[in-house]
Amino acid sequence: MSARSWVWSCLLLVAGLSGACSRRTAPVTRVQSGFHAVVARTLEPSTPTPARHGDPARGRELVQRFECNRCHEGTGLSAAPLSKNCFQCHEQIWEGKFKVSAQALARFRPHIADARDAPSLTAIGERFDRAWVRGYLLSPRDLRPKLTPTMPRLALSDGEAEDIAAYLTAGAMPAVAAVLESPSPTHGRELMEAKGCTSCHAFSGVPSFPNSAPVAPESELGRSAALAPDLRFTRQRFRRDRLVAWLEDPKAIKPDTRMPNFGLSAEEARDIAAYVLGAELADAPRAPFSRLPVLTRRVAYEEVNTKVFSRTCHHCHTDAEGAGGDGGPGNTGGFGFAPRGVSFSSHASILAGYLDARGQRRSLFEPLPDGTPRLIAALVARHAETEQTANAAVRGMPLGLPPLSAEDIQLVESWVVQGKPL
Amino acid sequence: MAISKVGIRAIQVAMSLIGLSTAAHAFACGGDWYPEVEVDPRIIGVLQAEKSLSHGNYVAAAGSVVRMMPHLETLHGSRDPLVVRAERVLAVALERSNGSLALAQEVPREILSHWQGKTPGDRDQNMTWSVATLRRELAAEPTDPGRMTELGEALSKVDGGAEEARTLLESLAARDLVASPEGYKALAQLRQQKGDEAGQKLALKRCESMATNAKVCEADTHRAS
Repeated sequence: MSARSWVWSCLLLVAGLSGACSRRTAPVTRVQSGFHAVVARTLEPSTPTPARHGDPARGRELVQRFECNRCHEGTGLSAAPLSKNCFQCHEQIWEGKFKVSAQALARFRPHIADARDAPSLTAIGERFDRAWVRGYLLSPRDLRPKLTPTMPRLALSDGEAEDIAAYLTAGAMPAVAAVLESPSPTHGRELMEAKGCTSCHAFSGVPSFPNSAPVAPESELGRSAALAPDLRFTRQRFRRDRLVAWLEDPKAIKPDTRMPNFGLSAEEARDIAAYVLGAELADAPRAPFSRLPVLTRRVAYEEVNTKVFSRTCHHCHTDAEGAGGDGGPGNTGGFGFAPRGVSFSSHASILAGYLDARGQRRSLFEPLPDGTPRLIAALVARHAETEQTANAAVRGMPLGLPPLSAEDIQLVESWVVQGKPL
Repeated sequence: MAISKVGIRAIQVAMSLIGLSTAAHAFACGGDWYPEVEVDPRIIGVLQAEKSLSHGNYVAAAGSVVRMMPHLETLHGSRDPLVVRAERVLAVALERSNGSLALAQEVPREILSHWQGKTPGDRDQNMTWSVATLRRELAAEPTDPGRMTELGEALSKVDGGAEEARTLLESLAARDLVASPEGYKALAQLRQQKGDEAGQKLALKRCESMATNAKVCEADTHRAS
């Protein structure tokens, strides 16, 4: 290395370090002065933020590549066109404006009733712990019990998830030690019920709130309530140093939130935060999935197509020609996935398999090392993903959607075992 | 209220302009106006033909294509997706009917022409057309197992086509990608020709488990050597 380039490197390093330091130190004062924070023994320690901080610029490119704007607002990108915009499309179907026949609309509507909203990503960094965001991207879980889960498990590396998390949380005020002074979690619990928090939010793992009136799902409030996450996850998810401020005035932090301002005093917000973050949680109920034995009766394509393929798989794996050139992310590519050429639009197209990374066709029914046909393994893997025991080798299907029932998987498996009859 | 001559002229000119501007989109018929909407019946027709084919109704599928597009043969090489799909239906239906379409009752003779396959020459001509069509289909998507299977089936029925058919179908069978029971049937017969009895039985079993009607898997006499 020449002397000149050595000098330039040193200058760049110094500039970088000083920039990093100034970004880190300046907002702390703001946080400390604006937040009534101080000690609470009841709180668990925050999740440690990993040493690597990610590259926000690369994160933005990845948000574009993985097409987060197909479902989410607040990505910093313009909204995807209607043909690729999941929720605008669902909304048009719901309102009867989507350009298909009335019969098709009537058929579609029940399926998208609970899939018309995705949370906006606005001000993520002001609300969520970055390490949690990273972990969620790698292994999404259902946070909203009243909303059909749709977040796909993308083909992300750890580093890519870190970069996206860095982008989404860029510019947020740095975390400070969050401690609540003499909180009253018991009062917090009472307030939650009195203010109606639990009308919208589930809080699994704590005793139920008997006086909480649920909102009508079909009302506008009900639609907002569908976006309300289960408060069980708040302690890992939410920034502890921002929760009280959020409860006091949610729109001040996230202008497009549907969470109302209940006019809580700082003390009330503190008590609720203490309960949400510190209440003892019962273990989440677990019902590990197990496959049912294959059916002995004949299962023909017509049945399995009507009950499973056309209802679920066809949405992302369709006939590109018939669908105007876009066969869905599982056929012609999307959400960062390369085109895999999988189409569930006919018996022959299903038997035509998928394109592997080398562009070679392979069977969807190829047995994996344990003998399970690939398609069945993918359907089972979706259950593992929802149980947070994802298998890195097999991506769960249907991607991001609720897993198929054991009966539906049994039907598909029976069809496969019987030789894929027409 | 009196209207001046100039006013009447202006109204006449305006009416004429309105008429001219809408003439491209509407017909005048018996004094009534209605929008000119052209519905192409071939779109649904080809779709139905494809469905008939997938349900094993080869002759019905071919019949609807021949009726809808009697000039199809002259369109050979067209890139219109609808024509390409219709050609594929006819080509597959022809080879599965061994070059002979029993449509004399449904399609006028002038239209049916050689598709009926009355003479050995007509049947050969039809099978040759079928192979050429399916080969062109495959060239458009060379790795598509569905198209490979269909070409393999057709080749297995024409003289001199057996080796190529065997290569195509065996490569698919090795990867569990044979896309139809008819493909397995062709493979079974090709294996039989080679004296591979176990392989033949295996392919027949695959055909029978996949087909809705076991008759699909019964051997036919039109086989290439």
